[in-house]
Amino acid sequence: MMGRNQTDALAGVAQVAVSRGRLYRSWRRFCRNRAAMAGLLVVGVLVLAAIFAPLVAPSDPSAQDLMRQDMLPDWDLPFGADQLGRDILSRVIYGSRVAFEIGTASIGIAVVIGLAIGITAGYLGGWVDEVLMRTMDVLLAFPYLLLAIAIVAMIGPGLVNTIIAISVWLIPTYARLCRGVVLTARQSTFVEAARSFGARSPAIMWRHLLPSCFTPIFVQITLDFARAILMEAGLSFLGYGVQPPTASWGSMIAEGRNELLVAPHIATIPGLVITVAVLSLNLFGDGLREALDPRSD
Amino acid sequence: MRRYVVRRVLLSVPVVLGVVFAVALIVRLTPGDPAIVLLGQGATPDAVAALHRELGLNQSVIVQFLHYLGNAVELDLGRSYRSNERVTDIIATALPNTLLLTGAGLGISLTIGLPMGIASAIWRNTGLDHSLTGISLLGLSMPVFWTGIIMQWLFSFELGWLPTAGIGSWRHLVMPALAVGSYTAANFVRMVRATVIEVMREDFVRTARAKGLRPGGVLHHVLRNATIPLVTTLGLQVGLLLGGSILTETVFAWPGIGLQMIQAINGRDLVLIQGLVLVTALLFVGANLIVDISYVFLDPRIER
Amino acid sequence: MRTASIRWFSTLTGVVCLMALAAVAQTRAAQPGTLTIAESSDADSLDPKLATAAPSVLVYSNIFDTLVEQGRDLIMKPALATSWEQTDPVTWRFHLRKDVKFQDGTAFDAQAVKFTFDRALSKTSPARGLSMAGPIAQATVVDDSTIDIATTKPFGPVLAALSEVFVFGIVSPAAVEKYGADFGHHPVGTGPFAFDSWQKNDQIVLRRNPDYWGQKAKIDRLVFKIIPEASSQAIAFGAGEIDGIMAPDANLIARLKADPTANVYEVPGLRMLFLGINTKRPVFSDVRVRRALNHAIDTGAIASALLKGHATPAQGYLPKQVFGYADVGTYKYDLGAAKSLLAEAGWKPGPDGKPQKDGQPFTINLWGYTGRDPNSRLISEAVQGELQRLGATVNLRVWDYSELSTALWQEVPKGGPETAPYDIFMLGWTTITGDADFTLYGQISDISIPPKGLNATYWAAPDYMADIERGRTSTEATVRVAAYRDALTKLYDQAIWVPLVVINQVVVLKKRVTGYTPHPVEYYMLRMADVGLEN
Repeated sequence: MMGRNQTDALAGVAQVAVSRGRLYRSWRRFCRNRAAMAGLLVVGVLVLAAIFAPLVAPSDPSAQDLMRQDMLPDWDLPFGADQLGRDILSRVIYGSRVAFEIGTASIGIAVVIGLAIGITAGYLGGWVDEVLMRTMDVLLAFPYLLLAIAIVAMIGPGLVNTIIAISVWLIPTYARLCRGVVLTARQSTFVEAARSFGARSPAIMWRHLLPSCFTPIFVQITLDFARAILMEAGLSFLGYGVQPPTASWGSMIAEGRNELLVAPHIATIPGLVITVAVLSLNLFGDGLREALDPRSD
Repeated sequence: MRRYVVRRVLLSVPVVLGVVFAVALIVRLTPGDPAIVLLGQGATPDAVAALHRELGLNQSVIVQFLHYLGNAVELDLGRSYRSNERVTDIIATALPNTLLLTGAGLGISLTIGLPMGIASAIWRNTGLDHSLTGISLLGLSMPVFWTGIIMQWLFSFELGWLPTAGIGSWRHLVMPALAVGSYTAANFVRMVRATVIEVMREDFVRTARAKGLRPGGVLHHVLRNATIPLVTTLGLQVGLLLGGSILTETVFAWPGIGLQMIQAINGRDLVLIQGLVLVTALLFVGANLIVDISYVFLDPRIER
Repeated sequence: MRTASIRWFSTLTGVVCLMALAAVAQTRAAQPGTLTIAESSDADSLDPKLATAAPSVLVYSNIFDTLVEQGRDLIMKPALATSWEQTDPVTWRFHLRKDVKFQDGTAFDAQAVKFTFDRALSKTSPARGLSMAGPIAQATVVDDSTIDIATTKPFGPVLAALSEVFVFGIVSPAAVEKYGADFGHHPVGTGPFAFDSWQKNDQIVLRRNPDYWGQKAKIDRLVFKIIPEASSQAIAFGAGEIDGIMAPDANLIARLKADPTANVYEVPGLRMLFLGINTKRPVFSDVRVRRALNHAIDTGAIASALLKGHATPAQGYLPKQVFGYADVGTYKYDLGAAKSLLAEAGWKPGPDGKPQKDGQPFTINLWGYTGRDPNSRLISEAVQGELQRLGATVNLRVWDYSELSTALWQEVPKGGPETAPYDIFMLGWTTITGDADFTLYGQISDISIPPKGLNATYWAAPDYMADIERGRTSTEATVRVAAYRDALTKLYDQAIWVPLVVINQVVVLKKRVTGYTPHPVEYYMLRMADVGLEN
């Protein structure tokens, strides 16, 4: 098995051949992991439900019908109805849209900005590094919910602002990650060599340092997606997330709390859905990480 | 060694200051005039102006912040806008409750997490491992506020074993601590399992085994080397616990700083918010400091 | 060395766990003669000068008295003042009760009254509820047991204003001197209960005042337990942890009524939920559109389905029991009428069937709130749903109640109220004094247009202002009633609000609690001097 340094040094065909083989082996490993496959399946279903919500949902999630108030689940309404008579199944389906939209967008933004910050800090070093990293430290020093609440309190609630709040929370992790990778990569003989050939800094940064960030970022994303969804649920539960009538799993739980004694399904079902979604993401993520771990070879 | 400690402490100070300033800024930028919130049905322009003067809201952010810092050093964190109570008094009553909750949660996570993680690692890839890992994954996936609500429904409403909310006896602590600790416990199980497996793989363990050391002795070696990652995780968990306390305290009406925080934010009680954030940041940074410093004792490779 | 560290580490953890257990081993023993009532939120402060919201007033209305007291029939009765007369158009002379002591033993006299009024009326640091008190100007001592209260202009509802414990609750000057800014946590008044202790977000404990001048309390301790969540309250009540619940959630009242150990006390209240319409917004400056909105909301459904019948649909801008109320008409729920009014105003169905005018769709920005009132968030959402049936696109934003207050009453948007980010806002308002002046002058007048006050409809027609001015300055009942009838007619005609429901005041108490009578004003619901406990 080739060591990592040797792989770096072998730019070109050899590297490509080795990584292609690795990728294939990783894929096979992943497929053998039944739990991870199950997770992938469930996540896939939820994502499809999110994308095709208008087609899949039996009714309009905001359609109120006080005649059906608090109805328990039955054939007509598989998940029952809430206090305004809205169909909980449809709301759950649209809720998955909210969850995945927010998860994807916030992680996307956080990765892009975190990458930029991390690479700049790692490569330029000096006081730029210090300032950027201290700022990241400050962001990390906030207990996780507090930062998001503070931001939402400042710019107002709603879908977009929740995305902003969650991305700000995620940025420091990616910044630190990339900075770490960059710091190690900087020392590598490869970069030294490129430099001695006269390659300019931005080129080095983009072409060589950037790709080395990919794997750790990818791994981190698999961890963060679940966390982002939980964070959004928490924010919506407290009233700081998406606004009515948009259904978020978290706000559905908040609305259902009052009725816990008379209609427990309103608060219970969305929570189950969150658990299943996050569990699947975790299984999938775990399987992915295990599959990609070169030490399993 | 002392230099290391001092350096670490000094580096933490700007971070804490940064946090407080960030909050002061955020809170100042938040739309809404606390004077109007406080005066409610009585917010005439004269009353608002008077309250502004009284609360010092008519000065610039920087001036206010510097005043605040100056007072903070003397342990005067101002008075809450809503109740006029000293912020230090409010924190003094609320903080012990949160520490109690966090401590209990941590205790539960350790008690559950350590043995489960070790068992998982030792009997790796067996049915036991899979079920334990599964349970811990479940713990990680359930939103803490939902876990709390379900526990309330089950243990309070249906079974009547425990009181639903509030504080006052050990019974009141059980559910919130379980809720707050379940996430951490799950993390512990995974971390412990991974670390122990990692360490068990190391050459020296194989050597020890080959030499015929009893499993107990090997375990002892393994645990010793696993301490550092464990302590790191511990430090990380404190942050999660403090953050999770906001949700748990809201669900269980536990009178700690998390609950105070939500009320302060809703009531635009800027002074109280700043004080609470300062304390939380100090706790968090402090916990990390303790973790960092304990490395010095635990890892002989670090220079004394 | 490392082994030692591990041992140290595990010992520390063990100690922490033990401390945790030990600290909570303290179980609160129930003491006899204690009445425990659950409230949804903690008080902010027990100083009448600082805290005017219900959670605080509910508690300190037991600690402080006022010169006159608002009875359950909404008529003002003697309290710390035994009699009074009007000496000139702007002055009222009050004769004070003798031999009354504050709970710290100091004597109650005219100086104490003057001290209280000066403190509340201070220009530099006025009582936070002062603007609800009307034109009260100052208090002058005549002798130890006589005091003159002057107003800036003739003021009809002066007694109502003086009964407001959240401005004019009489405080002990000695205690204020002693505790200064901490008076709110060491309150001292003349009331039937004295302050004992307060654990924030947990409970407030009051104890019997044995030297009370009036009906002495029959219980030893009065505990206000803070239990924010409705189901938790019901469970605690069922388990016997508490003796009563203040304002239980509408969904649980039926369940509580069926509880054989409970008595449910319910009276029509004085708190009304309504939708205010920003009349400066171009779309809503047309009165026909506003009337259409009034026809579009089914207030009956809100009262029966969402509040489970524990509210009545509003019949006008004031609750019926309020002095000055007149039935000048209400808009019936009629979607057809609503749509035709919209059409009259130029909103015709467009290609998608939804109303539009000049190519613009009918959009409504609705601000609702959560907290403060039962099911307020749900009501906001229900209103959104109802307005959507008109074909409107309704953007709802749900605020926390105190944030909504700020958002509505902070600076007028730079471009003027026409550019405000809301068209309709939901609010609740209690006519505390039971007098029309309190609401009409307080909520709908030109002196209360933001940022000066709370009138976020930005409407205050001059002829209406003349009416309520007449109502305020006259001391003759017939004149006042006629003036308010005129004012209410104009309000109905201009449809600046959509009055929704008037909430019933509900309290649930265990059967062992005797002698309780509910008060229509929310703030005074938990005055417990007459209440006893059977065993």
